[in-house]
Amino acid sequence: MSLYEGLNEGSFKRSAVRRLPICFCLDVSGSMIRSTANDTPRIQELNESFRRFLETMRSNEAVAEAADIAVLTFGGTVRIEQNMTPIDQMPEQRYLVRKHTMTPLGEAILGGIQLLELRKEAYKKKGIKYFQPWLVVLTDGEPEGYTAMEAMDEAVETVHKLEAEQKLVVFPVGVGDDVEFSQLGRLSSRMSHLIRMDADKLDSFFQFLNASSTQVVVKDEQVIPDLFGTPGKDATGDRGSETESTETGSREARGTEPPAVPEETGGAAAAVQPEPYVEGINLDDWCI
Amino acid sequence: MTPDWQTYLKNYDRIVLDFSAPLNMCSSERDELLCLLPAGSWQVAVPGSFEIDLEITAAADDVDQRSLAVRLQQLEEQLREQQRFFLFKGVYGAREIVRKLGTGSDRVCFVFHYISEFAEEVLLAGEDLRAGLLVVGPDGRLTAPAAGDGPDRMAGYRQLCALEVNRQTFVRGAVLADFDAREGAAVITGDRSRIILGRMLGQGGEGRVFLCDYDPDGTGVQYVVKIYHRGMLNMLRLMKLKRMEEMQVSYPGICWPQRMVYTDTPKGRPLGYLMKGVSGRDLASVCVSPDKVQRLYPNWRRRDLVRLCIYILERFQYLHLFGILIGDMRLKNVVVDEAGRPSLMDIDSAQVADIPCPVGYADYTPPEMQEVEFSRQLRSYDSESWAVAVLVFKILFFGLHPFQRVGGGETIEQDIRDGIFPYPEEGDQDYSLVPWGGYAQIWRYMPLPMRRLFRSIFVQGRRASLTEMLGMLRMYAKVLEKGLIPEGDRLFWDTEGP
Repeated sequence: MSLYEGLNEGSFKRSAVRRLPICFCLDVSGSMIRSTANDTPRIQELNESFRRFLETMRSNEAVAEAADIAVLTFGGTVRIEQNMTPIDQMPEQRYLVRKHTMTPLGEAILGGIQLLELRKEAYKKKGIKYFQPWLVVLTDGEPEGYTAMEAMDEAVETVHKLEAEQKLVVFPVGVGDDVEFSQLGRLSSRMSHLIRMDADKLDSFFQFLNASSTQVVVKDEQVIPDLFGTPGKDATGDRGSETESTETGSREARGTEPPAVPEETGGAAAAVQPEPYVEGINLDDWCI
Repeated sequence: MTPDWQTYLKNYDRIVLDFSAPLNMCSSERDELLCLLPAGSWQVAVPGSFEIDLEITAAADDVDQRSLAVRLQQLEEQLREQQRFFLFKGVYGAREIVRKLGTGSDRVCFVFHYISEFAEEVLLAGEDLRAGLLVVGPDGRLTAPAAGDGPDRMAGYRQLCALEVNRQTFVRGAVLADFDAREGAAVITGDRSRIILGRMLGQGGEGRVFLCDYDPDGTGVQYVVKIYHRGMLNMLRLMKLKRMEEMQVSYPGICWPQRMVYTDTPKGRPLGYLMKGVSGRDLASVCVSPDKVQRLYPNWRRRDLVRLCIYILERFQYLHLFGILIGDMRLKNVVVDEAGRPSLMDIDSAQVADIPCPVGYADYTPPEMQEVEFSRQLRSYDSESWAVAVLVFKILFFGLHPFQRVGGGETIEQDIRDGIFPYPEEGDQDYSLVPWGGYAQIWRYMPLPMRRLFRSIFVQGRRASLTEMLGMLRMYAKVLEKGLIPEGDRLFWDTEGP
């Protein structure tokens, strides 16, 4: 892709923390000018939701330390709005619709993947550790354009391969009720259902992203669960709001696993509750 | 038939006295020993760590321990006057002493606590050992478990000191209590004193922590109560908490489980425990990057990081002297207050006697322990030493793991297995594997002995004793205070790349 020649790896901040690189591919094609149920153009809802999302991420200490963000927009062509940069160094983001443009969905996805690959290489060269990268693809339509289907096929193939190798986590998000999203629906081999909502409900999706990123970054697993399989000490410490840890977790390398993507957005994975029982313990020995 | 210790000692000319012995002895026998030593004719030697252990104990909360420190200083003076006192200067740990003296001579007797670095080294020395052994047992009394010359003389010693995980901790089950843990609820301690829970401070996977009104000495020290979640109080935790309550460890900067708490009912069911409260930031949220440390503590220089390490290690050493191994140490379990003073948290999972610490963290698990199931195997002073070295490195390098390197593996466990320590020896200037971001400069500005120590631990696999690391850090702090390294006291040197 000549678009990406000379692309640099983005900016870095020195930190011992394991990075979480997230690339957003956002649809700014002509159709995004259309309004949602409350009469607001989708692009405006997207801009505002995204802004709120970035704010929330930045206010979460652990995530603000670890997240690296890039943004690509697509409409007619694919454009890099923001190259990979630590989230607390990102300037204000606002995207404009490119009127009368088509949706080069496949090209955008491939562009995002390339950007993430470049970033990973840079991390390795610098000796920085990172979690499996995330690719968030947000569109309100089907791929359009002369090479659209070819590009989409290539994108799907690449994504499936990377998912199988545990090297990428994809969040395909379909915005709006009017389209089938049959192509977007092919994108991830791991998700059985697409994430779908209209643009005015994007906040719930972004909240889910925020919660998931917190889980990944702060996952503070013990190397071995204790004898009874009760969950280990978890992220939220016993001391107020400090939830951060730079320390990598379990020997099963589960820090590289993506969070479970729920079928409906907003559903957080339920915490495992220990099975209570008194079996072998003589109560009288321990009561007073 | 094992002889009484007074008779046993008469077989020997020299005694090596480890600090763990007098500290853990019951007072009557301790007094007897401390009177006997100056009165007799033995040469008394102590490891290099003795002086550090003295200083650490002199700062204890317990007045008996503080007087013991004074008493031991007096003993030293008494023996020096008679020219019968020797300090193994620079030899901090037990290993060298046990291996050189212990195998060479049968005129020397080692005196130590049954759970101590000394005990561990004697076990490792095995049948080669010829020295006499006088061990302080779990009851605080001296015993001579390896008396006699028989081929199996070490069997008695192993029975006493080669601990295995207490099988009772495997018992399934948890004690359940109907208790709604919230502000205003009441709990009781073992003597039925009532405590009211205050505001909840936080919640974790194990339980919730609340402020409370416990103030036994009227000193106004804030205590907190940890109430375990339902089903969490299994046999291992119960046994451990009970032991911890009995041990009554009290030291500034250690949040020890002091008292168990129960439901306020005729038959009180265990719920959790009381400990000193502390407020501040945990080190995992501080040691994240140089910029963050600078922002949080703008007055800090490198010496403050070094002092932080010293304070923390002193507390670890205090616990080690009683046979308590932390096991699950990590930056997150150290909380630093506004003044920069650290406290050790989450001590309730520490290893006490033969009750294991069932958890561990990848960053702090040495390669030979990566496959170990922690609830089935006891930690050693050896493995603890590796973890401490990682912790010190992380504090000095803003959270960076010593084995993190350019071109490293997917996980830190892989890096630890690879065992490539990317910081070069002096003279050899290859910094190509050091992670980007100016970390190489921290290494360059470190005093040579400090660098050598890290390399001996991470490259040569030597397990330096905690007191040796303490000694080295104290030297580092002094060097910085005296300004002996130009620019050396900077928190960070702002250069991109090595």
